[in-house]
Amino acid sequence: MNITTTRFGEIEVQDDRVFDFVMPFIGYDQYRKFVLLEHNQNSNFRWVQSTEMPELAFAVASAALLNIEYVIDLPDSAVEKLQIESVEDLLVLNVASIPHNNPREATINLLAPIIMNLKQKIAGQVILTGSGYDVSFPMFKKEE
Amino acid sequence: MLVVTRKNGQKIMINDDIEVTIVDSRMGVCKVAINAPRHYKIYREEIYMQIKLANLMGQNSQKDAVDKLSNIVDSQKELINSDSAVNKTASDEVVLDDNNSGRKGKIFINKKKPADE
Repeated sequence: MNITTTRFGEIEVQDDRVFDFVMPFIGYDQYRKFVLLEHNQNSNFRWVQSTEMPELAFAVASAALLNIEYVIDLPDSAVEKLQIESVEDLLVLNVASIPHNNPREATINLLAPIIMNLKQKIAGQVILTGSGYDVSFPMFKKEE
Repeated sequence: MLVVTRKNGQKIMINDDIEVTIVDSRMGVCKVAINAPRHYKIYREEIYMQIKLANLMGQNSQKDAVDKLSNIVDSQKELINSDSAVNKTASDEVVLDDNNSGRKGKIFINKKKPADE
């Protein structure tokens, strides 16, 4: 299918690359269909792009990028809604925020990761209630 | 919006399947127990709002900002944060399962090896 995006123009995506966000992004309930796009060949970052609204895309990265241990205890509600049978089927990405276009201050949301079920092509933003993880975890050490 | 006053121990039913109990309430602090089917998502409102805000900022990102961010990550790996990602304040939330929910699993990212003795 052809989709229109503000950041990447018109792009062609395979229909089987579209994920149904059965647990929508918090605050974006009406938008359910997204595709995962590469930022470029070398980057660690990707984009979760809405196929329904051209301007809507979230910059995401894997928390594996950070020098921290990150443990996700899947809440029952997520296991049910995302039809999770095995953690092997899952891709976990976290939304990055770049304040005032200042990348040195970028943060990543560890409290509410994006969990994508690659087998079922469904996904969602899952809040890790009670985990104590930071919603705005700084990607970089503080400047001296 | 329904506003209702309850005494400690009293409950509220929402639909046929959600039960809210005022467990304890004193000095302006209220402990609430919520019994709902597993597929319901229940959050503290301020957490919900924090995530909504983080999403708003996240979806505002433009390609050039991500380019710059990528560059820092690639070329200045020593800057990447290694502090603990867990907040010091322990959560007071307790999940009581009356049936064995058998969690389908944990996902470990960058699992640290246990310290050697």
